[in-house]
Amino acid sequence: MRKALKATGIMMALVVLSGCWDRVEIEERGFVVGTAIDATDSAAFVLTFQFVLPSAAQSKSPQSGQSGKSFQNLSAEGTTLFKAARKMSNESSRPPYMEHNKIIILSERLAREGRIEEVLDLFIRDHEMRRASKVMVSVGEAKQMLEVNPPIERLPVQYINATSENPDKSESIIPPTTIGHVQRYLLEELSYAIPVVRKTDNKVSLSGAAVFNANNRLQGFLDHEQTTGRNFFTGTIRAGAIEVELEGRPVVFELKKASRKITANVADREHPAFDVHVSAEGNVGESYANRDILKPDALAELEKKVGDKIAAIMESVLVKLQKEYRSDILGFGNYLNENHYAVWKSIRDDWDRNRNLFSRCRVNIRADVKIRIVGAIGKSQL
Amino acid sequence: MKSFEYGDGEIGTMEVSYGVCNMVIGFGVLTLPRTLAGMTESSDAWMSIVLGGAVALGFGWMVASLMARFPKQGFRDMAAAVSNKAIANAATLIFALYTLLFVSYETRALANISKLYLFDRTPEEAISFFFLLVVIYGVAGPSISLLRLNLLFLPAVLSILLVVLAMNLPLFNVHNLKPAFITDWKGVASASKGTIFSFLGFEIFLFYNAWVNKPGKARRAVLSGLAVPFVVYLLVFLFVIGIFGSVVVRNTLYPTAELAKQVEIPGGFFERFESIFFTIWVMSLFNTAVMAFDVTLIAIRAVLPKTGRMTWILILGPVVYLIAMQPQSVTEIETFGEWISYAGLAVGWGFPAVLLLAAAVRRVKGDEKSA
Repeated sequence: MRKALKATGIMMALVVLSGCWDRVEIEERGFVVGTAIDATDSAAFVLTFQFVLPSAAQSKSPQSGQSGKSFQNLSAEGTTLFKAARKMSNESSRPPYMEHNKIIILSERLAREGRIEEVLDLFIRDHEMRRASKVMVSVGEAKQMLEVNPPIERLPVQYINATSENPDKSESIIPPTTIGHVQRYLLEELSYAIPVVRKTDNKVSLSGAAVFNANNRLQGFLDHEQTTGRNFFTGTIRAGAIEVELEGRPVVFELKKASRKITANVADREHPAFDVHVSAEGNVGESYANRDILKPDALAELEKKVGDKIAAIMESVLVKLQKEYRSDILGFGNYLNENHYAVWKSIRDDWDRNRNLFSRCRVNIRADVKIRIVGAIGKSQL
Repeated sequence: MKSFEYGDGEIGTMEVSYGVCNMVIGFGVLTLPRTLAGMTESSDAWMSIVLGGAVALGFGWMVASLMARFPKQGFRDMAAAVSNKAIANAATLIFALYTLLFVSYETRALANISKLYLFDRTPEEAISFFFLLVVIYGVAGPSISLLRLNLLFLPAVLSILLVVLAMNLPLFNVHNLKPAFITDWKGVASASKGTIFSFLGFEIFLFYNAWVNKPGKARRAVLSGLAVPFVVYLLVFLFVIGIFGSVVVRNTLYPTAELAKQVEIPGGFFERFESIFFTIWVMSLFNTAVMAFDVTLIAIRAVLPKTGRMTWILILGPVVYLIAMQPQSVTEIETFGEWISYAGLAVGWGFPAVLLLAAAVRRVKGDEKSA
């Protein structure tokens, strides 16, 4: 009798012990891989989630799945994002699950209105969000970016995400900026740059950068070449191709390695002067020139020309940022903070805000180039 | 390994070291970086850690000296030897109250952080309840086995921490550590208070002293047990600052947990690395809580030996639970934790210091045979 009682007791305990309060079956989750946020005229948001459709995503080749898309975009409007996200549960059989959210795209308009902080609060606060989600600004409507039909990847988000990882091959994509980074920019009240995504036909392009000032307002965009210049300034350039002319014929310098060194003269603390020294190394990638670049003097000339070109590219972005956007996204403020803290402390509020000392500081740019390999041939034709 | 090696009901140097280490590394690692970054600029709080660590090691030395001076005696016997029985009983009961509150805090803090990162819908009441049930199951057994459990859990806890740090290595940015030496000494000093708090806990070994079989080595055991958390705190702090930067750390509730959350291993299951981190972290918190509860029981039973251990467990279990449920929000939990830290400073470190001083002045020494 006692034994039977004990046994029942243990059996009943099983009911409690095996349970998991928070269990959600994987089939019941709507996996969100990407988010796009747009502004409406009435100060509200339009939130768009890209859901993966597991069944379609499972089909082996993307060609065979041509008929059924492997993703679904859902949009909802709301004055706060949280509310909008909840609204989506009304329309989707599977409530959104954010753990696998890879990218967050903000519309240009939202960024220009300075609402990036409102937007990102939820993405940092909520436990389901990951700090590693990438943030991008779209030219035009953000929603559109999730609607490209990528030929190689199965999901638009995969396509954008993979492309954003390309700074190793392209000089004009800025390194991916995660939500964690952006939180820091917001807290530090400094200007910053975020990758840009734009759509043309059925493609997206990530070349360029969106420049935000210290008040978190989008000031404008940097084009292809200016972004390259910016990457030289920040030392984040990993690869690139720079075209120069040698005797009127184009020669391409393939950048393999570049580093930059900043030094500052802070004798006049209101007007610090910077020296930026870039050292680049690389190969000759392509040459239509008639000269034999194996000759030392030709090589030296080429090196100098490439150096001048790099300096010119950097100069152009500097002018743009100082005169037009008045935002220091080149890392001078950080440099002062790290190395001349006393000076920085006294001028940080006036650096690229208020009196904007940044727009008036002098910057001296020097670029040294070393060509290591010219390729297998000296010149291509006689 | 001989079969009777663990049959003696005693603990050696290793158990003490592991126990001290596990007791100290608990909830503190998760919040310490924020506390420190809040009071200092940039990465300057490493000085506070060194400072606070030095103070903690000093007190560790004191506790260990007491242990060596009174071999095989628990806290109450030590206190009774230098003063009188009444004072010793009162001090022991205060100690018991402190450890009891400590268990409550640990239970609640665990429930809070688990709810934030793991169980979105499970109520904190339930998480605390189940955790407490396991703790009670733990203390229902002999103390020795709890101390030995440390040997099993600590390596797991330390390795998961190292894995988290290693995985974050690519994100480490040395520039975040600069500029150095910009905080004034006041900031560094007040931040070291936070460090000292997170070194609290090892004082419970004053009670476990009754089972320590090599009292001569107590100093080495306690100090080496404290050295590990010291290194861990320094490492975790520098990593968190190096990865997030000081400003972000200041504004993040549990920076170390965010570190774990940031880890991304491609391919399904491991993408949510923080679940594994927390699961293992709970083991550490369990050990801390269970040892604190165990010491509460030992302390109370030293004064009131007539009532059995199991009875006390059944009386105190609900008390712990009710106390744990008192704070109503995160900020209240933090205030609760702060109070307990002050209490720990006074009780856990103040008492032994006074005791050691009194013992030295009165030339009282424990006699091994009397124990």
